[in-house]
Amino acid sequence: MDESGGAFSSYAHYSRPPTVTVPSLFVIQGRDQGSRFDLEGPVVSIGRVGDNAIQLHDTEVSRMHAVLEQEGDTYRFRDRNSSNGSFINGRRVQDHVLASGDQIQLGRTLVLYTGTPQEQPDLSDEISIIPSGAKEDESRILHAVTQSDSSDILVAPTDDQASPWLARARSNLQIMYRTALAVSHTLDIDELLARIMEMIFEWVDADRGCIMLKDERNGHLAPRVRRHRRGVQTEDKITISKTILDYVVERNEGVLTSNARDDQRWDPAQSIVKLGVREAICVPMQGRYDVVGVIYIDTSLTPQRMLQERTTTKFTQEHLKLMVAIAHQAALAVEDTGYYKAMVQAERLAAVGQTIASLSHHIKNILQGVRGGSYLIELAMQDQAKALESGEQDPETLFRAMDTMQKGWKIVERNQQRISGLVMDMLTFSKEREPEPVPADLNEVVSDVVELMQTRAGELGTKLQFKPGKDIPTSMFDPEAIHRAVLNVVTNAIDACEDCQRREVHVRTHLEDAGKLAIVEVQDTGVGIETKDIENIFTVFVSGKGSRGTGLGLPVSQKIMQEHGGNIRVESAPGKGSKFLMELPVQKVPAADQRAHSEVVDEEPDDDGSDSHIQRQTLAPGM
Amino acid sequence: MYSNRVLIVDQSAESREVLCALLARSGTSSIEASRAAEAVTLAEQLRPQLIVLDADSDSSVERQALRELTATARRTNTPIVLLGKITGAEIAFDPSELLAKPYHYGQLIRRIESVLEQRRAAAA
Repeated sequence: MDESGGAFSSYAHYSRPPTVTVPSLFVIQGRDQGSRFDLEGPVVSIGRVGDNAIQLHDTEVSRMHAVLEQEGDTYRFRDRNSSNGSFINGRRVQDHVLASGDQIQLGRTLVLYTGTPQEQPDLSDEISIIPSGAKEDESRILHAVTQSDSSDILVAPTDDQASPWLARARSNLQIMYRTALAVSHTLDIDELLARIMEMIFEWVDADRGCIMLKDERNGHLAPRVRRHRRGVQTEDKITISKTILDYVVERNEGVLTSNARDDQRWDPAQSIVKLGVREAICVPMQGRYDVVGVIYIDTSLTPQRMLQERTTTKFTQEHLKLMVAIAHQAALAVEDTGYYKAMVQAERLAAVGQTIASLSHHIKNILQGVRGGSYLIELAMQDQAKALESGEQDPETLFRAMDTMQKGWKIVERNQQRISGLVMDMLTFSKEREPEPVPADLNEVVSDVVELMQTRAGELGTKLQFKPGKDIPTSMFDPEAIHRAVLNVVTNAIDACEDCQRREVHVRTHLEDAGKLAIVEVQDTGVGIETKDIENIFTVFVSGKGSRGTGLGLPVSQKIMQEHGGNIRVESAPGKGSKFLMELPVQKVPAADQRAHSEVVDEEPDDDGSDSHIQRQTLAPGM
Repeated sequence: MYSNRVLIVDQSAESREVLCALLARSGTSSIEASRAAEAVTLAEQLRPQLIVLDADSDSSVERQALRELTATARRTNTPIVLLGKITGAEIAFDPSELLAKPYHYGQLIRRIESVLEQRRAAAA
């Protein structure tokens, strides 16, 4: 499946909460502001006194103000000769069939009507995201605007004369902002999006448009609403280039694109005049914290219109700025909907639940180990006490007790190490910590890790060997973090060998990419990883080591390498072992630091380089 | 003739080490297996008095082996002391004893000894 297929398959996961199927009234203004009334039954009365199904605490509302009568899916509003009258969408009415979005003014109270939500059709057939490199869309970006560039659109009353259109749009935008905030609590998210799209079409002369929301889990964009201008034939799909979408989401900038080329604009011989020009605006929906989606609109200019209007452009930078502002407001409204909140909340709770379950599991295993070790010590102490009490000084009993005690102590210590490793990994993973680069020697860091792990390797009868590469320069990185990253990978390599005949772990360093990339290579002769599992090894809490692993080690290593601008590559074959290649981009040491560092180096007496090929090797001691 | 052997099936070498040491104190010898698959063969060949099984694994291969091991135990009438619970696909078997993690070793040893005691009594 291509990229777009992947994106749309996520549409199905975008499960909606049970939609409110009953029509409702929501008080936007007045003393009852924030109250919501579900409309049920054939007749619903509205008025100031308690006999009414809906009581409004507004002295300007009549005792029996109006009545709603069910009519099909919706309700008919009928004023009951109220003294101050009823207004719907600013017009005085006596009798009115309500449509979703109608605003009813009764006295000082403003109420919003929301009808039964319409079933949303699946949009994946109508909108497709085309991967980069596809030939269908040769649009290129003409302008890009960030949200801060466009934020003045709401504030500064600049040159209204210059652009009355923009002034009008600005006032509309403020209305929309207020409305959106008020309605978003009650509206179904799709209805809200549809409303936003509708407003956009009121102000911008677009032919087609759609809104895509980002799936919290996988970050894919899924189309939620599509619209086209009345009278425009839209038999064709909306195709959006993935490159442009990626640009918009990643850089958080709105873009104006066109498939026309500058040099072709006024050349009637070019095919563009035959086919017309398609312009599009694609803007990020930047919410309070994150981009929640994108809004896309486009328009085409037919050759006739181009000649008539003597122009090949329809969308301007003003349009783009306005769209960015709209998208921001829309994003705020989307974030305010109960649906979105509930979704984010559910995701978070699920993640928290999984985290806790997984951590308790590991801690339980460590605790079990501690209990084992301490029980051995306890027994040995009892034996020893008994022996002393009875006055027996049998050296063999004492020796055995001592042996048991040592065995137990080793287990306790190992588990202590495991828990401190777990805590370190948790900290590294949770902390939004930036690496603190200092001039450091990669070979030294790796060598420390190998030395630290020799004991463990020895216990498991595994040969652990380090061959430092020559010419690895001193570079800028966070030595503590890289130590952690390498340690986790080496620990895994040793563990992977545990049940194997041949137990060897080879650690090497070398340079790649003309010295721009330093590589720490950790190769083991262990069990290897199934191809299907390779993609999961960097997923948090997925441990391939059963009860021994925390599922944090590799994700932490990867996080650290990525923070350094690097990554981890894996080559593995089940039964043959694995090779982890940790890439660390070489950052040159700034001149000032260089001096400081080289002074330190110069103090070392033996620097002739002859001893640089350190080779550590521990063969399994038969213990 | 009945041996006194106990088969310990546990992925963690450390846990096996502790349990072996504890059993040795009461004169019970033990056989170790790190995986269920390995344990099936050992159970067939050596006919232990008891199997102590830590089934803390979620790999599907392991689950199949667990199924075989429990089937072997049933056939050879070998009691199983289960540590922790078997997660994932239900494996229908009735362990003689079940200890939830984290358990205390004193408790575990007492359970093992009482099961072995019953076996001896039944054999006599």
